[in-house]
Amino acid sequence: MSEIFTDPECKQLFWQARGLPDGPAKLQLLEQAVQLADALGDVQAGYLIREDLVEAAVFNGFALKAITHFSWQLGQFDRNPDLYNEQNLLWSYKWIISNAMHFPQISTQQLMELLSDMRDRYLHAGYSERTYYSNRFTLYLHTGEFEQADEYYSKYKKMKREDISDCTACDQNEIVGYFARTGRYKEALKAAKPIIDGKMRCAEIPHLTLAELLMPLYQLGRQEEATDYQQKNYPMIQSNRDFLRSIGQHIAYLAHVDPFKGLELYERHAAWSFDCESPLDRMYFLASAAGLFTVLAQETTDFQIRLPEQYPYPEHSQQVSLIAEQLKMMALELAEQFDRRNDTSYYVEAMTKLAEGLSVA
Amino acid sequence: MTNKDTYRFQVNLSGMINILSNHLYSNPRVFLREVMQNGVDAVTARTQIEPDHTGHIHIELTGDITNRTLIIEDNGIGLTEEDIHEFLAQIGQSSKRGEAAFTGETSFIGRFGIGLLSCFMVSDEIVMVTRSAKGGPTLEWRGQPDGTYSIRKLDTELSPGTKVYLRCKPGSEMYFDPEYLAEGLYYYGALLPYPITLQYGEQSKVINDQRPVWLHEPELARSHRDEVLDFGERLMGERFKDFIPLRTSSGRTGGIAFVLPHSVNLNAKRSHQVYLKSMLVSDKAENILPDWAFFVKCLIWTDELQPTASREHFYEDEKLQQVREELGDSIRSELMRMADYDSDRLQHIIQLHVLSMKALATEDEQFYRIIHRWLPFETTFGRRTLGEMLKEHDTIYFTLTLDEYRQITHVAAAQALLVVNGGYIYDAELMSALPLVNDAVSTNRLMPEDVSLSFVDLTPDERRAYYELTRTADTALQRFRCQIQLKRFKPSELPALFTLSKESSELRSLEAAKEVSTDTLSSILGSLGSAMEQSAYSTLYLNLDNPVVSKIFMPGNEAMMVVAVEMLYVNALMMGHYPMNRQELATLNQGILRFIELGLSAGGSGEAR
Repeated sequence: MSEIFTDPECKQLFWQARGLPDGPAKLQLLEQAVQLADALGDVQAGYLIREDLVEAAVFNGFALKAITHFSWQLGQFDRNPDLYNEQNLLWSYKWIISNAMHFPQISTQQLMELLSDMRDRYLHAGYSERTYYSNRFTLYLHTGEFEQADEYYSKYKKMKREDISDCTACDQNEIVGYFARTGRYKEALKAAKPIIDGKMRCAEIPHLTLAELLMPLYQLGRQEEATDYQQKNYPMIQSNRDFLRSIGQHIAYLAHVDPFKGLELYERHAAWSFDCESPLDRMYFLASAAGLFTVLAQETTDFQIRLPEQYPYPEHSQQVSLIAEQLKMMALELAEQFDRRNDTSYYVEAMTKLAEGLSVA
Repeated sequence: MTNKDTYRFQVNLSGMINILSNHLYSNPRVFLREVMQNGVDAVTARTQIEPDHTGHIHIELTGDITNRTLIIEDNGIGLTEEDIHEFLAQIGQSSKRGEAAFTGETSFIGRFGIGLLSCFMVSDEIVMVTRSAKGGPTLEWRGQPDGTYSIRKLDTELSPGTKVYLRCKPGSEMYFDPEYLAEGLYYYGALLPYPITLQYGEQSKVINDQRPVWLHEPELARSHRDEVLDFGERLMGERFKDFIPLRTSSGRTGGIAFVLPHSVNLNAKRSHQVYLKSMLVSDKAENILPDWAFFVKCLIWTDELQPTASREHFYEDEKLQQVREELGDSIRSELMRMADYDSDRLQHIIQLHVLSMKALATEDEQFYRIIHRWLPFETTFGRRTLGEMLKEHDTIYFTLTLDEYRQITHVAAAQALLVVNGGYIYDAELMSALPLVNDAVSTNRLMPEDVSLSFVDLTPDERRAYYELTRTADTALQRFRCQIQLKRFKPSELPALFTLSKESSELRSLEAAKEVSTDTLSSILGSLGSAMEQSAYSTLYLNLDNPVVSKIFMPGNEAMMVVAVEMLYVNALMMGHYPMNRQELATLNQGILRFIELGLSAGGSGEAR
């Protein structure tokens, strides 16, 4: 591997980054290394660093960086396919597809083209269409077109899993999310059982699953479990902005049972709702927070809210109802962009409910 | 889970032993731990029936170098014939059995009934002579590695307990060496509350001769400094200089965190030595302390954690989580105590282990509040602690990245502006959190363009004089979404300062990727980039105090001016390590050729032919 790096500083940055625990600090070092490799025209080193960079970006909530650097990789791979590891690239491709779904600026046609490009590359590498179908399923979950989602779900679940397939925990979590979103709470809980029992786990599971189950449990009147999950789950997700949507789910839940604790969470994470790269996660968080402030507005206490620097109206800090309106407006702005792209009204409806502090479904 | 013996596996024992030695256990030496463990468990079981019973484990090495036998004897509960059939003949069944043995708490450590099997790693036959404290005859059990065993009654009346005989198998001599044994026994059993003796020929010695008081009350370690350091050296093979006592609120887990006398990487292997119910279970436990505590190596004793099957790690469960947090709290509060009473010692630790301290400070506001003044940072004035900075400044500027810092460091230093380099791990994060822990200070992220606020504007006359030239220069860079500002600033050696917005920097790498990517992804990047374009701009500040710049802007140099400004621009990109697009690279190439040509013709004209 040593001969790949022509520059010692670049190499040192790369290895230093490799030694770091996963997090923004690692991402930052990798970006510096990539910048240096590019400046030196060191394509192979740039590619190698980007393998790590894309992964770090994906798992720390930097979707735009992930897409940008993956695109560069894919272009370089096509120029010199023999120089690079195809398996790694195809694996990253899955992350890019799911990250691309987070941006309303990317049209449905572009997403479809991306999906079929992925399918072609998978088939070419000897894999089945399973991953393609499972991504179609995810895409329809995103657009709220649940009938089509159903269709693709039944298609892909019959297919044999391959070494390139998502891990069983991630697959199972998708299904939990699917039931939760469609209001089939009991089924969601049933599907979540192997995850809750610890039989299925990975880097992001049960983190995502526990957050997903808070409202279903609340709706089913299983308050104690919900509290337990909330307390267990929060430490797992609190320091990674990749879980911004999950934190939103905590806030939405706490709005119902302990709005002051919900406020603590909002204050701690509000800055991410401005600089998180994923518009989808921002939207969910903003709508959930709007719901929280709608509930808080019914309290008679005086508030002094710690608003993030990027919040446009610092004078709102004592007026929670204005914050509720502002956050709702911001969430709906994004929801409209998504709906326009998807040609549905799913997000505006769902986000409006969330923002009004109502229980969805 | 069920306790019934409804299902039975037929196990290929030699295969099983192979699995044990090659996979489950990291080292054949663990057979020693396993036989000691069985002895310790037997003693524990007996003291439950006879509370006044004093345990003892006696190890004897006999025979000469070619024919060694190791005898491990305990005065524990012993086994009846049923016990033997039940516990020794079945893998997965242990006398420490029942559902609780697998999930809950028991007084026993061994849980899998496989401990004795590990002896086949070093011996071809295991002989055990035992007599149960519940009565019955003395029994002899002989087990073979093919899975067969025989039992016979002996006529002699032994006192209750168990003796295990292991005859050295060829190739395992090193495990039957008396020094090696003494060391191993101490290593595994140093903390046992009753004596372990080792006899070899005429010599007999107690292995665990001292059991320090601070094992019960870790706080007492403070007043037994040398003893603690000696103990650490003997057990961990390293002489430390400083330590922190550890204790959980229940008192069921305690320990000593030895401070490493040298700096370590963030990714350094964390290997702590852990004793479970007084027996060593692991010397490379990683998950027992929080991630940030990588500056200590710990000796830990506990009776509340569940080991994994290999007994070298612990189950990642809630109990472990709680213990880990509480041990972390012990370290944290000791550091905080040092801040008040022993700040020299704390400063020494911070100097050695600044990354560890910063990692903890980012996680813990209260800790950060207490130690922040001693944390060092790189600044335009050199390496400074926050305390030093706070004496003279109530506003501190910092950059987010190393590159931003590099861009402005000369300018900032020349203006005597204190700027912290936030490009190192945790530093930017700590700087933005500083006002939360010290309300007398405010911190601001300094963008390169902020430095330009201190630049001197041109006088109205100068502005008039340079108006046309500035416009030409500006027009030349418009295609790069870059604008020109003509100013005067220090240091005069610096011809230009290039600044760009965050969006501009993102857009730049996005466009670079777009140039090389596939059609599909290029079009996607186009969609993503279009939203950023309005806010993506950059500025090139030209320094009129710089001799070269002032020459460029002298009348008569108009022809050279555009190419000179373009070159300053691409030079700034290179200095800042920004990816250049095709257009910029082409500009660079043309510019270089142009200057070569110019240089040659200037040189040529001056030369006499």
